[in-house]
Amino acid sequence: MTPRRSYRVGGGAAPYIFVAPFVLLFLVFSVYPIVQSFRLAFYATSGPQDWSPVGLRNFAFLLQDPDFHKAVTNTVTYTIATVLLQLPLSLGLALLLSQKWLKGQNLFRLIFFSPHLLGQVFVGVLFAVLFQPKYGLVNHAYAAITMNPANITTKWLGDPATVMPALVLTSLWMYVGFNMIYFLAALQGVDQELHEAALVDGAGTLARFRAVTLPAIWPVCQFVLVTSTMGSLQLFELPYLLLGNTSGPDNAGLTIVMYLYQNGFASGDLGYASAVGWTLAVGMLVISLAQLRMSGGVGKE
Amino acid sequence: MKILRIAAIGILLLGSILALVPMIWLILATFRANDRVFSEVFTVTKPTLANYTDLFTTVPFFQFLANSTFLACTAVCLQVFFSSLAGFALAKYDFQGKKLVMGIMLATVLIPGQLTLAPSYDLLYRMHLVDTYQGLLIPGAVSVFGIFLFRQSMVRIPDELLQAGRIDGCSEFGLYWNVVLPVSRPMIGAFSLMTFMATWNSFLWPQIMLHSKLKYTLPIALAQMVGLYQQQYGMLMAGTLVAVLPVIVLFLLLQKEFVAGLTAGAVKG
Amino acid sequence: MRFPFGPAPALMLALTLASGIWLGAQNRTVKKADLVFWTFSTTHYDAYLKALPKFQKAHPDKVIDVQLVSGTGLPQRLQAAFQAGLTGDVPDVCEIEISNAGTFFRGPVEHVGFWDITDTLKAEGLDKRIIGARFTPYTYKGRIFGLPHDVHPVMLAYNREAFTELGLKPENLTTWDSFIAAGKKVRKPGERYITEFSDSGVDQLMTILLQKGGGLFDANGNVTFDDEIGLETLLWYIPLVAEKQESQIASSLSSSFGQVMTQALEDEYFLTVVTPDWRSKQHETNVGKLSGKMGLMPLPTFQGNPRKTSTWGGTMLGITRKCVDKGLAWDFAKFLYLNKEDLAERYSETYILPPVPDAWNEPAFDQAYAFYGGQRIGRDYATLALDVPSQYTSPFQDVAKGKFGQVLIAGVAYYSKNGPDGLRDFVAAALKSRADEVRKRIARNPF
Repeated sequence: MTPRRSYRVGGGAAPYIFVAPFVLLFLVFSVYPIVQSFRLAFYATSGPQDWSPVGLRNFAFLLQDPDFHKAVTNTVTYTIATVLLQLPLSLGLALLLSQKWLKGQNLFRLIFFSPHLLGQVFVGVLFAVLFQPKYGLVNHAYAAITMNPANITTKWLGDPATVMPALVLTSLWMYVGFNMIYFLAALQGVDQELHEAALVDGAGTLARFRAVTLPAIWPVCQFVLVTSTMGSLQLFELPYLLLGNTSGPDNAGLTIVMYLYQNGFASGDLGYASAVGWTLAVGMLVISLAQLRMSGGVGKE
Repeated sequence: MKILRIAAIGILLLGSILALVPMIWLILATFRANDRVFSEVFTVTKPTLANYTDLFTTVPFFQFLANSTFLACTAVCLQVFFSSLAGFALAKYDFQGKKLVMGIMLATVLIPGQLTLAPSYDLLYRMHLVDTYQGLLIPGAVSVFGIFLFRQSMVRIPDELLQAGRIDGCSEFGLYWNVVLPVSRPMIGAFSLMTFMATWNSFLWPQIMLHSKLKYTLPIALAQMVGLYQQQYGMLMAGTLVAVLPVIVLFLLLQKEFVAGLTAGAVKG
Repeated sequence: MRFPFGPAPALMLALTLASGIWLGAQNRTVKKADLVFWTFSTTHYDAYLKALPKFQKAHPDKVIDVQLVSGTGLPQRLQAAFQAGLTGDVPDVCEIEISNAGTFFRGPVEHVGFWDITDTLKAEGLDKRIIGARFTPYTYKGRIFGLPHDVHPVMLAYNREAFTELGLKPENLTTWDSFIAAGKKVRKPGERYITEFSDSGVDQLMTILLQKGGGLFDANGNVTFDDEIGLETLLWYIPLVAEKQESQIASSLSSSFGQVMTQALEDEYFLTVVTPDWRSKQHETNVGKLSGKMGLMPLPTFQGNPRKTSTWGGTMLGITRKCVDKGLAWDFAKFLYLNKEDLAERYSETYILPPVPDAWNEPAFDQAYAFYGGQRIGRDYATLALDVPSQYTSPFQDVAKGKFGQVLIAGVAYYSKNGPDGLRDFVAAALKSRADEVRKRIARNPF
């Protein structure tokens, strides 16, 4: 390929000026808050005006708070469910759409991707209406499919047991198409010659998939896995709007970030919000490191 | 094999229906009178525009629309300019501290935004930027994700092109403006759409920052309309539809670039 | 030279300029008022707008702006604005709902966003004229920050036509025991229930708890919902709402309000519904199909407890620290809440009883209402009003309510699986542990 970059004569100050805005904003609005958050976590506040030092009490309370445990359980359950359901579905759809004989791929791609465009807030608002018992669209379908008319009164968002399924279903609707795009692009990059060679060798579809396709798309799989996991752990807006600005019956829809918002910002306690934020950050770091280690190292960037 | 193909098409069609049905229901529902929103499912026997007129008269919806438009578009302009500039510097220059900058950027990817919510709010309070659009736009004027994207696409620009420009007497910024940018248009298009979408749909941070009703963005306004006591579903659905249309339209215009840009980071790796 | 960034950013830039200019123009047309007043209730808003001209006549040189604002998230926003140094939308006078009042009573007393009216009230003797129990929710560390708007007695609205068809008579339903028996007779799962009680939300449960003399908190802000009354209330309530159980007599939908409820009432899905005075107006406005066919009856009583009513909801009026002309604000507050003649007129508009007993003698309260078949609902509510139970709130109201609701949900789940065996112990344990969680939060608060 092209030889490595050659370096400027008289490029001089230019690169520094070009990155200056980033560095400046970064220092002020990213670095400073991070440092400050470490300090804030040891205070309780009533808004930004009144600070009161509490030492480790924020963390102590956090770790024993059953609501926080519920938030963690919910968030982890949601993450696992979406990863296990979403990714195979996305990959499956991508495989289907990559079939040579298929026409109208662009149209299908557009259709499957469109739910993602709406954004979590508007999807939440819409599906809150669709999940209405007795009058909502989902129940009409549910009663019809299960052929049990009593099911039309299912209180999806009012019953703690069905809130998480409803949330996962909604999230599937939003994100399957989105992740499908990544897989589609990855599949396009699979070397056709390898496929031909495997066919000649008499390999069946499944074997070909395992030997040729999967290794070729593995970096993208890693990428999608990591981003989906990180995104799921940070879930807030979708359940918040789905449940009408609440955490749902019996906190069935409470996620970690929702907990942060309700227990931190809603009462103006910025200190507690920082403590929760740090706990989340540490948790996410641990999980992402574990993921990377398990999937055999990184080909990032 | 024919059976498999039929099955495949069947699945794709089923999936398409599932993907589209909520939107179709939404569109139809907005044309039913408020007290009849649930009376039918996929038909509209007495279409009316009442929901839309209610939307723009009872609630300052046009104001919210303008607010969201202003914030999203300005964010795009700022981020495109500053990120592409920084991306160019990182792609085509070698300078002291470059590794440091790249390292810092990598580190920020690991930090979830929620960690800095509280201290950022506190900082903006001290700067008297709470409840202002400056407070929303300035911290987000540069995007690390954007810098990565641009760097990735700009690295591929042949150095000879740049050298030629220099020989012609072009300044470094001139190189950026006249040579690099035009070539990067697809990536710029993709990034514009991504940024627009992210800002348009963003909820948590504006919700925390904005205290004045007339400054609210569409997500905040819609969340408020989900009231406990008075649920005017017709109007709510109309508002939702109006709120999602701009992103959909923009996407239809910029489809190809968007897909290309989205996968550039993941695939070309 | 073409725009180097391409078409999309060009479009963005154009839109930025267009919207920016439009927004800039908008901001210039903000009128300056001497007094900005916020309410979240349409009913109040309409009534106040009607009354405003009279006040303006007495204060011709002042501009008073009465605004209707969305109730969702309002307390949080306002409190956030208070905490950020009064930035953003802060009115001079504001109505706050009882369950949200606690939001403003965090942090040091000096920083509460509302003006302390304790001394003013005492000086004008108003603390004697207004029912004392109604001040308690708006008091923090011994200081009063809100003027109570109402007393909100509760009755049951019933469908006269349906009752006649089914052979039910309010005179025969004066005790909960007889009510429950009737409920079992008329129950038709999926089609008809005698009343609306939620199995996950606590609105109706709270009404019953208060009727029995219990509450989430006591006068000193201590958590009390795990006491004997709380336990008995839950044990009584749970079998009534557990879906598909023999004992079930009540159900609920996704919301107690709005179109969903209107449809349910019209379909006779619910024959009665818990109706405080403010809701009696809502029925009239929303449930047109039942005009002339509704009636109001007192709550059935529990054995050994003569109380036939409860309370649900409440509003306070607070003057914020942003207010410059406190005298004007106070006059306006008194005008809206305490003038006898105006109160009668206000009542006719809103159907809301003021917490000022000496005003209830006005003829307006004896009016017959066609929607309720000619019943004099004002007099009926007023008769019950003196018996309204006390309701104490706290900054931790939301948390306590939520956790109380959790016990309800867990109790219903337990009952659905195991029936009444062991229910008492289960609920008692759940109540204690949830109440302790709230106590821990209260202890954590350093202010």
